[in-house]
Amino acid sequence: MRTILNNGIIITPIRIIKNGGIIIEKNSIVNLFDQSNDIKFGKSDQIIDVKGHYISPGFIDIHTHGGFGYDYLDGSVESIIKASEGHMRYGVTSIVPTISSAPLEKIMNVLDCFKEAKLKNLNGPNLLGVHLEGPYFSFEEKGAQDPNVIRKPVKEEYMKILKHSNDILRWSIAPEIEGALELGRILTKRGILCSAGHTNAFYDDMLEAYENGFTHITHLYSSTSMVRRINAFRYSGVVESAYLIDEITVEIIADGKHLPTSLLKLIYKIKGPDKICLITDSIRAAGLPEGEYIRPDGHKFIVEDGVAKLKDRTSFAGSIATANKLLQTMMNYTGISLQDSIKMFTLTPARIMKINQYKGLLAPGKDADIVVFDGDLNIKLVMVKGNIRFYSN
Amino acid sequence: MVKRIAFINGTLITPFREISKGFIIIKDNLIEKIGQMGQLEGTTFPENTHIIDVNGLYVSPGFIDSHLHGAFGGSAMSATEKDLQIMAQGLVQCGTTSFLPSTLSAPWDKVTGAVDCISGVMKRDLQGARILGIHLEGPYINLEQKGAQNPEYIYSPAPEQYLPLLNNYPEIIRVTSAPEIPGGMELAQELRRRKIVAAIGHSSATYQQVLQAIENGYSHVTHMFSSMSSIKRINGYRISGVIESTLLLDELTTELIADGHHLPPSLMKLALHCKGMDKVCLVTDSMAAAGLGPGKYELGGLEVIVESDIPQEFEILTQENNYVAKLIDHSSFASSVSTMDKLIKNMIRHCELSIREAVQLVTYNAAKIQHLEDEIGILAENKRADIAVFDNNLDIKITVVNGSILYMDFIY
Repeated sequence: MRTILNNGIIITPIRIIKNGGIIIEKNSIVNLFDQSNDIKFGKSDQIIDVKGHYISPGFIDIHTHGGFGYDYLDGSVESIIKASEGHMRYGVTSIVPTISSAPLEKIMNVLDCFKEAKLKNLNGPNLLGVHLEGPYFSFEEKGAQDPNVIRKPVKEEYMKILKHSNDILRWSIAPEIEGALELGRILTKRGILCSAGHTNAFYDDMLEAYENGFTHITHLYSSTSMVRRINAFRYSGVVESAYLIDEITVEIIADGKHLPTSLLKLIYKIKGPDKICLITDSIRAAGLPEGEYIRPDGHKFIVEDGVAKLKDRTSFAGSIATANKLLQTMMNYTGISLQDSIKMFTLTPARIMKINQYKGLLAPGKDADIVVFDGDLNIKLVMVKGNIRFYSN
Repeated sequence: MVKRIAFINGTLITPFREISKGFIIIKDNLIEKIGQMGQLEGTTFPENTHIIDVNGLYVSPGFIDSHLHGAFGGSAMSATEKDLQIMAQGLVQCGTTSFLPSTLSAPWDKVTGAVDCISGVMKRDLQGARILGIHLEGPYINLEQKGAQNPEYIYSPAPEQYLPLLNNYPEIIRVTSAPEIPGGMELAQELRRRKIVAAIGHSSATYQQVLQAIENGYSHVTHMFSSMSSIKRINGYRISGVIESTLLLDELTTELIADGHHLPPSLMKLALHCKGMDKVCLVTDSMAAAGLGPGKYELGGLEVIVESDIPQEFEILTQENNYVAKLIDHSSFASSVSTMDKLIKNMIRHCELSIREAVQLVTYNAAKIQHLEDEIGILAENKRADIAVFDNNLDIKITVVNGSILYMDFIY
């Protein structure tokens, strides 16, 4: 049996096909077509008229801590599955659960839970693998990370983690701290994306970091150093390095709160849609009402004005954005085209996570991870590997 | 009798292209013709042509410095013809053929005195680089971003103060001010009416205020990265400042103090990367100690120290004879002591620009920002004959101002 999504505006996202359709068989895309193609539908074909809505690859969120009341650091299989299913209803078909700085046992426990969750994940999005955000960070740029567990990389510890699990896909580390570059080389050798985050690095540190495998920057502008003055002399930081090292990719929390329009535009102007991915960096409170919440490490935080803040309101504590919110922000405030915005949430993250052979593009042979949405980014249908997992009128 | 000068066998930088084996003929104070040597075959120069074979040297438009307070011991604020004469004569040795003496925040009668002196000198002929006009840097700036401006003499712009000055001295062609202070936007409207370049500088403006500033007439940003706001956090929210606005907004041009101290190469590259090759010029922002040695000097009533000390970690390692002025407590730079030829060299050496690109920044771009590109900044027929001749190492060999050779390296 084939499934056909018909009568949509397809954003592949390298081109737009008006009045287009997609033929899906089993887990994969068979073909795309438009009105000029003479397509014959078979009797057994399931034809879905998407009524002029947009069709794009499913969104790929490579940095989220949870949502809908669950945090990936909770240490339960249920949390992983429930948070992921929640995000799926907003268009995410592939997810990289992210766990914040934590003690070793807790990290190990979550990795065990993840292994089990992958097997029990029957109705959710693709669980691509785990992103360890910490604990090897700079104290100066700790942001909302738990300062009690931030530490220098110890080889014995991280080798234990790497031996324990095959599910680690990316690791955010401050490259300037002692031992970080060696870890960078080890991760790179294993094909794990090494990302500079919560870092106080100078430009020179970043050049060296790039040479040692740090090819990505975790939430640019959030917990990343900028120009500093020391005895009047200026020293560039991570932000300037991100702009100057063309090859380095970045991710941005496009919730409309963490970064103002001017910075979203500036990042886009300099890095372009092929080097930027959108992330939610969402926490437990995503998809829930405003109010007071408790993090897995016991710290309280508040959610108001559409963002999570530390209790004293001096700093953000993560976003509560869902996937569609990021695209709404891009569309409504930046003047960046929908096509490029979609690219930064599909093809570019797929390339950064090295899964673009299968995902991130609507084309024959690719996984049928597809989302249908209207002009206001309301999600109408979510398909994961050919299975319709969410549908809304 | 008509006099001509012909430079032959030069590498011309127009600066949009390089013409190897080129020639340029100057007639009176204008460029009469440029081209390739081949075009001269079978022709002869008119009588009274002074032919100079530059033998492969670079020939480019003379350098334009749109922001400097002094050089070679002379100071624009001194209000003496002698100081301006010293500056003009010194600058011409560095390939600079025109400049904008810049005032500083100071007691108002001192500012008007300096303006009066410069405008008087402009009506006579100085022996040296030409004064294009006056640049008022301050006193209408933001105290929060005073840099090395004297905080005692920083005010909000009041029309009853600035209108008489602008009326009496049409020689004022550029003003650096902070748009966000009371009266800052109205000042720009007045400047725009008079076709005076309004530059944002010593400013704490937010992105929203910069947008408003552009609408009100600000078109340029004074010494990028120096004395201007960057991102501020207010309850977690990020507010972009002048730096981010300048990088983002194509409407704004800017200038770099490329003396090798004020900005590391990464920031200069970043500015070029974002603004493109057409919207950036180089300025010395130099003080009286430019071209002189280390020691203690004075700038706008503040004591400054000139030294070459560069920290180990800085992107450029210590270079001999490369000095900078700092406030006496070392908290801030207090102008450069560099010259145009050195700025060009820095861009080539530290920012991997070609000679042609670096020259464009100090010729055409500088002219364009000041709306003078019809007259200067390009080697083309009928442009003013302001010309610099130099070697690979940016050692200046000949400088022509307004058709006259005012400097010739005696070794050459």
